[in-house]
Amino acid sequence: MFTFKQNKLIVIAFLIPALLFYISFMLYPAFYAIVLSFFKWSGVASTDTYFNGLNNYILLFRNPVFWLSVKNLVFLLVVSVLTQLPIAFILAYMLSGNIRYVNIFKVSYFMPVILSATAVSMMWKLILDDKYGLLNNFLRGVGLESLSRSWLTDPDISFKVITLINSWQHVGYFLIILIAGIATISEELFEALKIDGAGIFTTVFKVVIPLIKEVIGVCVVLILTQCMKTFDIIYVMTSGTFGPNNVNQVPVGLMYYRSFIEDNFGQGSAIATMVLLFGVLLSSVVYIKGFQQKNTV
Amino acid sequence: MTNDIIRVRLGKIIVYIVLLLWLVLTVYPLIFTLLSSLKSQNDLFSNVFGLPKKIMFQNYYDLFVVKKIQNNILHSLFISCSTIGIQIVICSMAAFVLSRFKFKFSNALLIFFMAGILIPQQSVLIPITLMAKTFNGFNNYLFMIIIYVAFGVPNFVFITTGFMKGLPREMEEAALIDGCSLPRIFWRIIMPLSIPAIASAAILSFFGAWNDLILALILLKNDAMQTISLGLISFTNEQFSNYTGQFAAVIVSIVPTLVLYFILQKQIMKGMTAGAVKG
Repeated sequence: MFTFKQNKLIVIAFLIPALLFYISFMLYPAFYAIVLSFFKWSGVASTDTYFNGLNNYILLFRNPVFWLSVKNLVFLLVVSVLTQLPIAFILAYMLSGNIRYVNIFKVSYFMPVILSATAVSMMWKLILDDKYGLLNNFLRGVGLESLSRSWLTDPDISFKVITLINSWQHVGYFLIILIAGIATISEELFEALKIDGAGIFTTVFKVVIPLIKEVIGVCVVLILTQCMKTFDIIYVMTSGTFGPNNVNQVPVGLMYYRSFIEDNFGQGSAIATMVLLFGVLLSSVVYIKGFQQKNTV
Repeated sequence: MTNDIIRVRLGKIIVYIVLLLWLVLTVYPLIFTLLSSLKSQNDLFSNVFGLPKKIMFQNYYDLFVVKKIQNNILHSLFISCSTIGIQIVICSMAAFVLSRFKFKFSNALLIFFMAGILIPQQSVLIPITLMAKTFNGFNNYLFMIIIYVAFGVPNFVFITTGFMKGLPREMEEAALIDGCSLPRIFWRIIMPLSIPAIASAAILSFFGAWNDLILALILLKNDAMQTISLGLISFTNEQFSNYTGQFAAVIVSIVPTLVLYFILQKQIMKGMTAGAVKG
């Protein structure tokens, strides 16, 4: 109906503003970050900048803190998938049945997702406080004082606690996605299964999960990308230190530290480049697939 | 037969117990936060779980009158609203063109926009800091807004283009035959029809800017300009032993988000899960 030839100017004029913003402040910086990672560059005010080859990467790979941050990230990725996915699936499956007040449950479960990670972390930091926190008081109250801990300052457990809080905040997101996925399965199929006397395990593992495995795949990738970007929650929970002694460090946090606290832009960019490549690789799996589906169906 | 009924009943009860448990785990921390914010420090320490012995608004009074947290809220509101204002105009325009015109690179262009969804925002922060130096972007809301707009463009274009593609064409065709100009068709027909998608995308962008911490941390060095996230952090740093005050600060910072959420829950859930499930 609309032809490009007659409306060339309008088409171009309509596209330019969005393109301009997107290219100059997102794409160009992304490429620039990669370029910077090959340069020695000390902070915003630096004039002493020179090509440094792979040195930023080599120094980084020799640094135990970098590997500690990678180890933490791997822990975060694995535990997040293993906690969020099963919890989200069980709740989503339950809510897909004949449940009263479904909406109250859905709205409540999703609520933490939209809250700012800063506020959520502050709330949990207060709840987990050594002395006056809810959790330790509760443990003392029920006679389990031996279980009470300095949840956020004990280096043995602080990162585990942070991981669980992060999961707490995001489970609701995957729950809603999975509910939408389960809703695509036809009612008749569930009826037929019931008539055949199929048990809950057969229904879930042999029918439901195989039918929504693509949705589950999307959830896994979304969990992984969300974890990779986790910064706010650790920053707030550790009062901006990512410590003690970097024990709670993750690559994005290390990037922030190297670049903006220590003014080492080169090494910061090397981390940023790895985060970028990892993120693009991960999420391209989902989006390219989704895009193909949208265009073929 | 009776055994079956009992089993079904029992199953139902277990389901409700599990659902309620998670509900408590989700909502109780927020209720606890609200209750604690209404206590005096002594009341909190002696009575962690109970209701406030006497409801105290002192913490809120201190936040608004002494700390002037409303300034932080206004800053964040200004930044977030300006961000979505610009995005609504420029992204809908792009989406309109991408959903209606076939030209040599139209499909490639959509993919080009979508590629931005894959880029983790944190990975571009260093070049943005360098730009901030060149363009005087530190302590500068306009610069921040520009960055937030850019960060949100890919997702906004993605959501709105998908929606506009699905809109029926009859009205615009009729308007075109009547001699209506393209910009007019866009503004008078496409925009109003696309409000659901635009609203979903805009709320997501709003939350993105409102909840952001790291960009504000890097760009705003002037304490008088702090956003709500920065205000929260500086408040905890200044008054680290004022527990009830911190609880109140958490409540103040999440109330605007919660209000938006309760008004627009459907759109928000739809917008955030768009694209994850086919259809």
